[in-house]
Amino acid sequence: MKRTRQPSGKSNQDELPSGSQSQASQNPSQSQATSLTQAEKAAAKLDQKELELKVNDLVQYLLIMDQKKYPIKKVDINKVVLKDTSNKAFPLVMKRASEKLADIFGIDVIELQDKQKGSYILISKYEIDADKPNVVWPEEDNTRMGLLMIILSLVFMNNNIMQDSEMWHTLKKLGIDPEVPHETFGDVKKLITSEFVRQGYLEYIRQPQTDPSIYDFKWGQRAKAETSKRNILHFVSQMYDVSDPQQWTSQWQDKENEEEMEVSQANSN
Amino acid sequence: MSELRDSHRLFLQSFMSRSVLDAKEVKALYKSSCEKFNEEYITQEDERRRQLAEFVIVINNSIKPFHMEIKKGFSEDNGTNCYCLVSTSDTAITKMASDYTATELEYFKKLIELVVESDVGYIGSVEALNLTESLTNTKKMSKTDAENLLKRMKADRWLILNEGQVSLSTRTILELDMYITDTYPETAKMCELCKKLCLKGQLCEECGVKLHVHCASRIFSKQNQRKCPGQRCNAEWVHDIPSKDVPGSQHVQQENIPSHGQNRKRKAKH
Repeated sequence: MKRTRQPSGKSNQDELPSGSQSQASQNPSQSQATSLTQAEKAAAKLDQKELELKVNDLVQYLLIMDQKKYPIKKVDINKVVLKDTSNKAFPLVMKRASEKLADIFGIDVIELQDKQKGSYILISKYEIDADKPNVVWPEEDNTRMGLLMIILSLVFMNNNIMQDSEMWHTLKKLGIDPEVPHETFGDVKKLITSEFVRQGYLEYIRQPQTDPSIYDFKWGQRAKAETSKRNILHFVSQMYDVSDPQQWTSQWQDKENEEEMEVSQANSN
Repeated sequence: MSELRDSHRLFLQSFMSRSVLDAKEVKALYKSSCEKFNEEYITQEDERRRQLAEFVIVINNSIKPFHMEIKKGFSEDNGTNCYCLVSTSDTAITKMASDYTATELEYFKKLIELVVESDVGYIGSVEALNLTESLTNTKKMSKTDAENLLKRMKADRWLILNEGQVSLSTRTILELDMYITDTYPETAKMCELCKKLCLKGQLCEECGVKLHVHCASRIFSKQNQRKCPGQRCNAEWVHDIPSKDVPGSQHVQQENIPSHGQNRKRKAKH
């Protein structure tokens, strides 16, 4: 069920600008990219103080909504946080909120691509080493993440795509049967094909014109952002007790390609 | 004032995903956060404690604009410390809002009311389940729903369910003490010693003064003549006093991470 509360209500009414006009005309020039000019004009109508409150509200909202790890929609942000403020303020408020999340919380805001454009996820800047947990996470999360790591590994080692029947067959060997409620995971089929999918860790795509339907598993956008092929390869090598991950020739090449692409992307920015 | 570093951010992230940590977990987390970024971790106890307190203050200063704070509290059952990341906005139920429905929150509020109005700080589970009948929300809740909700709230560390008794967890007390004292100014009692909200505790039948069990043991453990500490009361204190070596109870004074008592004062000025 989807319900949202506006973080820290009423503040924007309390802080109604007095003499905001003169102030606003001076301060919007934060040397933004030119694409922000329209947004800046909208933001300039906001008092600087009010803008700051909106940014803080948005940070709080993103953190609360991220607890379930479901992507957060721009529509909802506009509805809940920005409300009557012109929607054109969105880019600037979002930019500022992202800066704060990075500076204070060590979290990156990432916009999803393709069909999911207009949705955002939060990703920690810090990679969590699977073998050396530096931080304590809730136990429930840990076990779920373990299952997820295995699924991501299976997909990756299978050339980045795996048919559902093959996935279930492999998981059964680990005592995980999609048809049988699992002691730890409960309805494990639902967890994998619905929860992990909604959270953006997996894609679960029906092959066209199949009857009965056949589905494929792929990595979702959150998986790509949160972990790396290098990390997964390292994880698999450990499970198989392989000291040199380069033994997995094609996967190694895949990993190398991914890293090269990241470097070239970083350079072009 | 020192700057926010990666170690602070990682520490904070872990807090956000856990919400509640006990003193030992906080120490372990602090250690691993320092080590991950090759920062010095001081083994000397007093100095480390001072550093950790400073570390948390830096974080708290940074997250204040978002109505968040790492607060220190203690269990009303045994006085042990724990630390919670709480939402300090006026309506602290904000954080729960994404996890529970409106009906469930209404139920939770009714439950809080009953617990606060009981002198003992807990209610029976049957009484808790019967609350479903008093809900006004259009969406009805069955007894089974309520039972599952209680379990879920226990798992999320909002409630303590123990031997047929339902009481509020340290997390709830830290997060909602403002709400509770504002909503029930008549019935919500403060501990005579530590001046913080006291739900479970020992009550003076004469004057109504209340003490947390571990606070009572701090006052009385060395006294043979036990008298109520209430002003002009002096009635005999008839409750059993557990031995003073309650785990963690001494830390209450030593560590200087801001406690929620201080926070209350700060908020009152607004």
